[in-house]
Amino acid sequence: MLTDAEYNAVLLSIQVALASVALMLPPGIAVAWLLARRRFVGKAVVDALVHLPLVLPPVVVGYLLLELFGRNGPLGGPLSRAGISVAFTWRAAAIASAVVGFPLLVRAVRLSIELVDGRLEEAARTLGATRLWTFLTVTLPLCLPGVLSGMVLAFARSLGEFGATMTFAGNVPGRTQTLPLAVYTYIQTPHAEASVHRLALVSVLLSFAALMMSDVLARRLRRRWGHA
Amino acid sequence: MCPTRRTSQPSRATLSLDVSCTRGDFHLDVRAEVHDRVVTLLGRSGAGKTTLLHVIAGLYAPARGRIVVGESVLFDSSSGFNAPPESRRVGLVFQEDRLFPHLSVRGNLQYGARFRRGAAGGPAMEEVVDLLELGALLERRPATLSGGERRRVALGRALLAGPRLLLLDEPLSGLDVRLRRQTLGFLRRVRDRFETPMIFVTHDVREALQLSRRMLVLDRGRVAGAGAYLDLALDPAVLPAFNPDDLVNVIEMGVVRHDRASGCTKLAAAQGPDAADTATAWPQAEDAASREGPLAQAGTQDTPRSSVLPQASPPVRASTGWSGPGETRHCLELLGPLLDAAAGSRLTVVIRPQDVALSARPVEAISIRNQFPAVVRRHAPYGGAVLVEVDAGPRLLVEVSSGSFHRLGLAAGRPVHCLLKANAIQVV
Repeated sequence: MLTDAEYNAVLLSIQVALASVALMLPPGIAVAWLLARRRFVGKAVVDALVHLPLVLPPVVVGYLLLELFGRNGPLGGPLSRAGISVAFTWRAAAIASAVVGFPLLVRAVRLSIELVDGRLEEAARTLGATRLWTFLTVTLPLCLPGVLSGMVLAFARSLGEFGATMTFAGNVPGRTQTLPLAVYTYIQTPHAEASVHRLALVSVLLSFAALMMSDVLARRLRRRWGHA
Repeated sequence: MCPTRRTSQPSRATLSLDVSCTRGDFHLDVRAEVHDRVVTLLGRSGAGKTTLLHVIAGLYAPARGRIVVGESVLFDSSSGFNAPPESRRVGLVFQEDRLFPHLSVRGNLQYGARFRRGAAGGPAMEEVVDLLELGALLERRPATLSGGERRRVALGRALLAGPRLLLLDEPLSGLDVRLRRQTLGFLRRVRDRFETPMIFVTHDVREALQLSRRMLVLDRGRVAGAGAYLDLALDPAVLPAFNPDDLVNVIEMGVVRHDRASGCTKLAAAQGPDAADTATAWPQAEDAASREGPLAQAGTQDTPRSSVLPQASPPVRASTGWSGPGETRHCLELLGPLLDAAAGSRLTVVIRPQDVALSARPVEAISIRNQFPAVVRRHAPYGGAVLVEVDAGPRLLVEVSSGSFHRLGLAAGRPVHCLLKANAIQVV
């Protein structure tokens, strides 16, 4: 079926996508909750910042990350002194995907939090639950379908990430060459059409499976609450 | 957890309120001291009842003021203190139930229990499940419950959080007649079983009177009056806050027997706590009278009941199956329409003030079946008519035209005869 190189690219892509979703989930939910439920000074600025990666050219995002995490960058410096290198590793690919997918996750989660009846949260508070406990036991379970779909969106976005990854992580076969980078490389390579076809098919299947899974999970959750 | 503060000098008031706030065009400005354990908060829709409950529960912060429940300050704008809702221990049963859809009935009931921690007392799960008959529902999801069941779960959930004050926002709204009656029964059970102070919010005097005769009347964001129902109804300053159709007599009665031949049921007035019409029947009233505050001002003008009892009707012992306090005194007996209720059972009847007629002398040869002696106690102008309070065992409000009032020479202490058609007795 797949050659070793193609297989590695697929596995790496899945690894990077899972890592990026895990990386952005906690801050993504926190920011989504802030935007959905709290009023504070500078909310518009936070909102714009969150959405910036959506409209910025991915190559620019990659470049900014490179500056930030480079050996002499404000984050990269301390990290490299601690023995952790980020740029041009699979971690860089995960970070690049996380930044680019962040607005998609936040949008989906925010929307679903806004759909949770705030009066249920009030009820929880009068029963003695703190704000955090209310979020964990009422808001989060009720917006879980939205969180799931946000995760799937971010996962799929990561599978397709190209520009930022190329700039920040490079295109090293077996180390940072994710599925889209591999497809691009094979397109540039003469007589590699078969590889391109196979990887394109895998891309479609992966994305499709992710979408189906989130739909099934969300529907099962809703049925459990008797909404369906 | 942010603890609530203790007051420097303990107050015996259940709830002491002095709050004002503005929401859009609406101004809420409430000063009240509640000394009764169970009180109803009465007012038309838009009077600010729900806003006031949310302010007490901490869901909405007033612009200024002070809220004290028992001995704990919950809000004090002068020191900038505002306890968050979770540390107030004020239970709120919402109008819309607000059950958690993702939890089972059991999960909903147990939700607040984990936060009780230090809070001593509070009912046990089994006790609440038994009392509210929730046993068969425990594993169900809220979406599968009927309106009445949802209401009971919401009530149980609030009780199990161990509140020191329980607020119930229109607990009977949105229920049909049958469920209303059933839910009312559960509310009374809760009222009688637990010692938690309770405030029932309603816009309906009939409902209010079935839960407590002590009320706080809210009118356009202000307290129009507070105290015993009859004191409020006969207070010209408070009267406008009631809807005209709302002023009714609600009496607890026992079914004595049915007379199918003549198509009527004989009823006898109960003399439980529900029969307490005015402040004199309430031990708290004496405390209240020595205090400042709206509740204290009301109900100080009562004379002892025994001195005004009519001589004509000898004391009768209640002859019904239920047992009252066992006191021997005048007991009102009425003939009502033939009712579908077992002899000995207890029910609540409503008599509208305009359905009772007064006569100076007994009337012979008349189709009206109920004729009973009473003594005029107080009266107040009521539109173009006069609202008269008579003592007929239970006290009744009677509406007569001002012309009749003067023609009969009605005045406090005057013995009269009340005439009431059997069909004017409604059972709720």
